[in-house]
Amino acid sequence: MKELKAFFTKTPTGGIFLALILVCALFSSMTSRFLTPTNISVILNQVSVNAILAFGVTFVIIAGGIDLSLGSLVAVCGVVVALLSQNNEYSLWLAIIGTLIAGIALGALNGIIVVLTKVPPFIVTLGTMTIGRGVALILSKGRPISDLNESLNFLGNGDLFGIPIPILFLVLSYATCHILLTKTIFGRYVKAIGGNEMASYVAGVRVNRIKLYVYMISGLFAALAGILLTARINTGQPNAGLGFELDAIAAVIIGGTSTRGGKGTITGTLLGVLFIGVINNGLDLINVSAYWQQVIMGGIIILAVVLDGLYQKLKMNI
Amino acid sequence: MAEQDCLLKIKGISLAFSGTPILKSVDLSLYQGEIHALVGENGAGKSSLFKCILGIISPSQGEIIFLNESLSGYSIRDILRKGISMIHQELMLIPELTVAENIFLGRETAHGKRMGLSEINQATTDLFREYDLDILVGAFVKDLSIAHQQIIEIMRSVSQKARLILMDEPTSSLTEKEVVFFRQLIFRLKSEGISIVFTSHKMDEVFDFSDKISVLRDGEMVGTFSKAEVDPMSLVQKMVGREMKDFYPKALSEVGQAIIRVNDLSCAPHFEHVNFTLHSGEVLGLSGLVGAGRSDIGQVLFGVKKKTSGTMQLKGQEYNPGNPSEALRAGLGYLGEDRKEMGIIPEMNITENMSLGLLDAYRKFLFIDQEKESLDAAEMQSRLSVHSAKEGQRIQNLSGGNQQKVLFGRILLNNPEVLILDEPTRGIDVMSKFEIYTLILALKKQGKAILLISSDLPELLAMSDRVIVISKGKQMAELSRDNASPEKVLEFSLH
Repeated sequence: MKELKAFFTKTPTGGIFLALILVCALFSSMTSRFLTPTNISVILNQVSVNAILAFGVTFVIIAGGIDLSLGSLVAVCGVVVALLSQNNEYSLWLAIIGTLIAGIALGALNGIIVVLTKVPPFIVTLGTMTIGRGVALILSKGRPISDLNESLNFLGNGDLFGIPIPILFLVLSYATCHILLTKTIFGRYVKAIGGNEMASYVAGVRVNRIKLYVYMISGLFAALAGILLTARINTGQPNAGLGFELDAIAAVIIGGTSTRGGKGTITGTLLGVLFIGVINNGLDLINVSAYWQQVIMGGIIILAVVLDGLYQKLKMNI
Repeated sequence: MAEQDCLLKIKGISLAFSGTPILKSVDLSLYQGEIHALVGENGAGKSSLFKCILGIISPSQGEIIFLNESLSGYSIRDILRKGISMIHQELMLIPELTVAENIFLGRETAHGKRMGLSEINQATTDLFREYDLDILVGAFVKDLSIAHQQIIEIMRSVSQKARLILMDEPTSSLTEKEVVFFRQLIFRLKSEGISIVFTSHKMDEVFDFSDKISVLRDGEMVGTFSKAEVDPMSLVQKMVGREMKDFYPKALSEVGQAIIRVNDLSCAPHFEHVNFTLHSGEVLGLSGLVGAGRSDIGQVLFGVKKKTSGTMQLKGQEYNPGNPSEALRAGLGYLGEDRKEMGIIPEMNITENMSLGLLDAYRKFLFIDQEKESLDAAEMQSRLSVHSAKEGQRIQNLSGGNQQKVLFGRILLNNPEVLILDEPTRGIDVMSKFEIYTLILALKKQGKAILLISSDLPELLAMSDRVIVISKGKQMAELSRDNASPEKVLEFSLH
């Protein structure tokens, strides 16, 4: 019991974990269709794209930045992978690797502009968000791209040992990002520059380099999300990913990462993603209309941050 | 003067922050239409005294009486309404508003009805005419010079019917010509019966402007003097004259070979044509007022700022660090002037703060060798006796002295040959100060070359083998330990 209390009060993600359990309990009591293996698999599959985006952007937010171009990068990369795998022109591996490189390059573009111009990342990525959407439309000539490689479809809809492939990607991405943030020099310096950029610079941290890397990571995971999305719907959609950046950022914030930078965890982001996913799924199951779902979701995001603030204060006094 | 003329009477004000006394039973009397200079070293308690008068902080003891009424219990706003206002060093104007809008900011409603733009402009025009000011009331404040902005602030106080105006180093950013105008303006205010208390580091202004001069030293009021009672020399002695010789541990050691040579180094607009040599086993002191350019010299040496001309040599080799990381690898260590801004990562713990920037030494494949990292940090923590309540404590919860020791630990982990220490003991307790002095001398004995930058004159003189005095970005003097007296250093600093 004591350990349990310590877990909820001492670990940074305890609060959101508690909230997630409460919503799950709430939905289970309202419908028997919620807590079934099939439905859990459905939830995980549904959240996988948002989770992968959110993991990447967690680094950016902890470093004190923001990346609003995510949704557009998803679209660009989704279109790129579709073009590369159309009519079996190139091998699937080439298409995937090419798309991931494109994502990293687009992220690097964000990073380079932020570092060189010192323009706030909010504005830089607002600009590249619009540019990206335009590029996706240009590349696709404004039309959906179909007739894709059969094996790409497998990535989106197939499974391995009974586990859907997107969920495997989710797990793999989680593990990679968690280790990157907690165990590596890079991860430590990401937190340091978010915590105090000037002090980190004076201490010898190559601040610009780290900033560039976080945007590249964000771009890489946007590319992965774009690939999975295109694979799932079996079409390259230039209008895909609209508003995805906001879902991802919401998950990061609900997961306890400070918007001012300096602290945050990948586990928190995962819990934030699941929290949003569970609420969407649960509301579907109890037949709440999609319009009302948006209203409820927005309210929950604000409530989550307010409660977290109170919770942090409470924790101080324990 | 008769008692009823006494505008402000401060009786036995005391103030302490976390056990450190800031003001010790300070008395001060001020009469109507008097210009009063408040002098003292940095950290003597001048700004704290101002804050007490304005009601920003309340003293633990004593009383402030303004117009025969105690101010205790009144809010900042109430005190402003009673007629006390302050001109801060950083001006508090809104750049995007006009002159007239700034003057009437927050007071657009007069006598219960709202003042329109034309009424505000008219009232400001009248006010400026009365004081012979030639400033457009419709101009945007952002387009005005600093001097004009300051005048706008003063006129705002006047229009608020201020009886007493406090000014924190009002002339520090004015040109000589602007100072002449400023002088006329404050004498005009004086003739209107407004009293002024101002701080200044410039002796000529102190003697030129003021009727009375009060000296604060270490939070104590040394006394209030008329101009006839003191001269600049004796005033400086009153400002610095304390005997704390035993407080500084003594260690004489052989000064070794030259490590750093600085030739004709400039970093516009902060400092120019600076020359010095720093030897191993030597503490070289850099003295000067805040903003004189001494911190910038340290920053250029460590690659935080870029030089604009001149050369630096490190052990005979051309040296020009592009960033702090390069300076670090060249064997320099740096402690920044402002611990919060340039030193600590508040959310991180002691270990993480110590190893910051040095993690390449703990690289194990892609990861941090956290075991070795904590071991080294723990060893450094006990060597520097950093006191923490529990393991893994965030640095923001440590005292200033312990935070500073952690930052020293960060420098020492890299085992540098040269240490640049900017205000190493600012705002820390006496015991930590003593520990840091002992540490500096131990490092000196090991043959480290140390550049010490400090506003604390007794500290600087006791610790340094030589002292270089910087004033307004220029190297004024180099004094040997035997030649460096507080009076001399201050005289060159104020030059």
